[in-house]
Amino acid sequence: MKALLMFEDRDFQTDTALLEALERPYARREAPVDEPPVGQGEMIQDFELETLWKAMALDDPVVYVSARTAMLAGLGSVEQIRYRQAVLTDALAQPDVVREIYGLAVQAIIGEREIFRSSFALTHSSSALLSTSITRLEAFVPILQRLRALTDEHADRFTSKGFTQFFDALRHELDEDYFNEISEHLGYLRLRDGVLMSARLGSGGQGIGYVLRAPSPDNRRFRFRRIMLNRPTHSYTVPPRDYAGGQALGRLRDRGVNLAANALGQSTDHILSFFTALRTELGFYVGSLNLHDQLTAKREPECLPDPHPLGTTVWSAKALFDPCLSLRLPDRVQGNDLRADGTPLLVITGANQGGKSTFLRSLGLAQLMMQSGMAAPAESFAATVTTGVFTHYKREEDATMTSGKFDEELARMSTLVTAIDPGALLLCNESFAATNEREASEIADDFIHAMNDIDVKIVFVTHLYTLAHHYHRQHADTTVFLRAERGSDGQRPFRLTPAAPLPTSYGEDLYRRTFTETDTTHTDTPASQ
Amino acid sequence: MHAQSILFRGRVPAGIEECPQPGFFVDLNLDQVVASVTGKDEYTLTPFFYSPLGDVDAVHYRQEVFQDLERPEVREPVSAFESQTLTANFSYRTKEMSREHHGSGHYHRALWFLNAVEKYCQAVTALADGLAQVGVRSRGLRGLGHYLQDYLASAAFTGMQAESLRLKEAIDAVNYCVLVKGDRVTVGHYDDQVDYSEQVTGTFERFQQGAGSDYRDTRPDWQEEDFAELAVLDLVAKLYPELFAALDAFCQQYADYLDATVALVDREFQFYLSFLDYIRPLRGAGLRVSYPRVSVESKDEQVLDTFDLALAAQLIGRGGQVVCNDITLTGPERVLVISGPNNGGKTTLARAVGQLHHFARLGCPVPGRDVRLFLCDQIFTHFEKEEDITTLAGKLQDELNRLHADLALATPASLIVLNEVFNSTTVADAEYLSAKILQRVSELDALGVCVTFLDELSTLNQKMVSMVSQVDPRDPAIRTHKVIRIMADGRAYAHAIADKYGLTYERITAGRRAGRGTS
Repeated sequence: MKALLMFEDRDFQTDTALLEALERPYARREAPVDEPPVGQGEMIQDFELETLWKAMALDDPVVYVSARTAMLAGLGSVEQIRYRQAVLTDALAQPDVVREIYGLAVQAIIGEREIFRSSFALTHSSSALLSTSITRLEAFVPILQRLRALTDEHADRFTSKGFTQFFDALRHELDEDYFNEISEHLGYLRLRDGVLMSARLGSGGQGIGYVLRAPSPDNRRFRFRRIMLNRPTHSYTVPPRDYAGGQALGRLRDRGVNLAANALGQSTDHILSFFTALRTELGFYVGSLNLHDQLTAKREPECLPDPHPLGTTVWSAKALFDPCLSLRLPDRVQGNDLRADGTPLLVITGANQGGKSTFLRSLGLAQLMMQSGMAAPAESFAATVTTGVFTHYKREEDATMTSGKFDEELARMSTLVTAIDPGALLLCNESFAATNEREASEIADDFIHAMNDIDVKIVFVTHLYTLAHHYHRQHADTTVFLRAERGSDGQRPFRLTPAAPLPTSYGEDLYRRTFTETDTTHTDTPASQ
Repeated sequence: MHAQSILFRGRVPAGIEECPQPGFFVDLNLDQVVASVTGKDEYTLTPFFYSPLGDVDAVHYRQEVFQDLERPEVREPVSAFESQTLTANFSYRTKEMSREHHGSGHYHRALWFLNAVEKYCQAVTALADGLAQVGVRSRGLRGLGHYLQDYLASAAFTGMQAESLRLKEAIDAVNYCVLVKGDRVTVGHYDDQVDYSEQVTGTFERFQQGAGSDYRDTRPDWQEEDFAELAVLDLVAKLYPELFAALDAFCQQYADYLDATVALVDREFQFYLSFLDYIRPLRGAGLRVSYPRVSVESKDEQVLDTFDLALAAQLIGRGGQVVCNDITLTGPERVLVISGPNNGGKTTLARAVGQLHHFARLGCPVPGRDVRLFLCDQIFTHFEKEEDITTLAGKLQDELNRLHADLALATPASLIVLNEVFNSTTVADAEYLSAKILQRVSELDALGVCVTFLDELSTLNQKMVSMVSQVDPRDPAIRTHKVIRIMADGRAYAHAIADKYGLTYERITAGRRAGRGTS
């Protein structure tokens, strides 16, 4: 019985170590063994993904991990995206039912943990283990029953394939007979008729291969049978004062009890794993609901994006905005339109603080959100799926002090390139700007050409006029040019318009304005002329 | 008929077990080497390492076995055999059975005895088959192979093996149920009762996601003692009375199952295998260990790339680098006079020479390649000991007494290793005494090694060969631990080392002049 709400055909695997670290931040643990994929850390930083995930999670670490995992491991096919979009549509229509099921999973797991915590310290004896297992199982039963009741009440209002199949499975697997079967097991496992095991002889004549046995093949009636063994039988009774014999008998019995506890422990683990999986998968949708609530409260637009398969070059958006920026501001933020179908290259030029970085982020986020099955922050968004999203931003400092800034930039780019596959999207923010314009332009030109030839889409934010101008003259048919505009009053609207690159930037006036308005230094550097 | 030995042609010499540790063992660090080789020495191998062989053919007899055992296809069945520790098992099991009285735990002991016999039969058969298949070349292993073939074909062996197998099969087929209720344990036949663990897990399997955790019983194996305590095996024996009666009969009939030759070679294999195990990491580190051509006539000796076994084992354990040296003696040459800077590898080389000769006499492979060695009859060592200054005079006297005694025992076939014997006396004394002793060694025509700081000893007569420990030409303070045949020149390194520590004339005076200039 699987949730299968994230994928039609497989489980949704999240990083359990990360969840553990979030839930118990002070516990001592090993450093993570797996290196994150190349460029992932930079992308999270460049897109301010943490802001988005925190908004989705609302302090629920499970939701955080599910949202994070889903966005970082984007879906590759249109069908997979559509599958999640359908489930999301159901969730948006029935948020209360979805949140209650999620709550049941959380309750099952937390209750489980309480039992474990309260029993763990006491003893490791098999009897205690068995009794804990029985308590664990007993705690799950009412939750399973409530899940079944919810199914009966609400299932017919869900239409997505994911939810329909999930509810069908619940209806089929959790019937009345099944709950009876569970209660019968709970009865026999108290072992009031003694512990019956089969065994063979080990090399020294000791018992090996112990198997817990029930006396009759007809397991529905065995509780009423008195005879556990057929004749002939031979018995030994431990004398009342034989301490060692009593100990040995206790250990022999323990072995059987242990087998029962193991079987039951494994069973309760199965149930727990079911609830854990359910919680993980629903966590993603709960996160989407949370984000939806926050953005719609601000009247920001939201849409189900329109994914197109690899090989197409669809790329358009209406009122595309940066949700991270919006979440931090009291008002709505400025959206931008994009019409770049059929073009593999987007060159963005223009004024500093003119919204270039914000636009770059909104484009990247929309792509990641679409490929995770989420709604997109736009009135409409359509794009070809990518094989990966990568960022290359200018860095202020060389943290390692081992190489020059330009070396560092090139080294970073070269590791990215090894990880980039055809069909990827690369977002460059003032790449190669750490050297003189001519050199940078030539390197960038070569680089962009190479990327185009291996089918990598590029968005290139640049001050390199030589480069931008060259593309405008030579490759206008395959390039879209956007420019961050200066408002007529010198105030900067965060809006980009399709426009040819201009030979100057606006750093100078920014600088002047900053220095006349406030008397402190400003970090923004004047643009190269 | 005596048991077949693979260490000695014919009978094992009497009294060999009582052989004491030779006097030179500690000086040559052979005690360390033998301790590492024998480890815990469960087989009491040490006496074998104390007893040198006297003639070339006896050495060849062992070298042949060594060379056989170096072939992986021979080593494999032999290792499989020795790992069974048959002799130890036999003595343990028979002791246990002899103490035995019918009662608690009786059938447990009987089953262990049965297992021991079964293991014994398998091990001996496998060894005989292995030796026959791979075609051993040494006289020792060929003789053993023939002996084992006869033994395996004997009625005593085949009868024992067949009965043990029959019993084992029947025991393995025993299947019973045990019920624990209250203070009572009840045993009965197994009648296809259902696996209840499976039923429970089956009920909840539908919730399983992915692989799931492993819940198999990870507790330690069942304690036999508990089982015996409850007499469960006795109860099971009542379910299968004929089977357990047959087991009793078997134990009585084959109480003395171990063959004398099997017992002997089980120990003797350890001599070879432990030595090969000892040199394996050395070879793994690129060092050469090879079989010397030994002679009792020619004192022309040659060893290329040799090294001190004890030191090499230590260095390789720590991941260090071992320095190898070459030794040759031709024509009249008999004595290696080793001089040069301290900590330059002089003593190490002297030890290595002693070790070479001792292991050659044991029939073992020795450190180095292209080895030609004289099979010496005795080895004498004189190493300077740290000593209290007040007993100095007494010590010199003792040393001379010891030298005198040794030289009286020494023959032209002996090896004498002198390591800085007279260092603690005056230079004039040392020069005089050393020259005298070396003169006596020369007259005897014995082999010798003399480590000394006295250059002039190396040109004492034509029997002397000068060897000097070397320093790194780029940084003379670094010892290369290489010792080569070269004319001794005691001053070459002194200046360099002084320079390194700022103690040469130029540097001391330069500092002074500067000081005067500023004051």
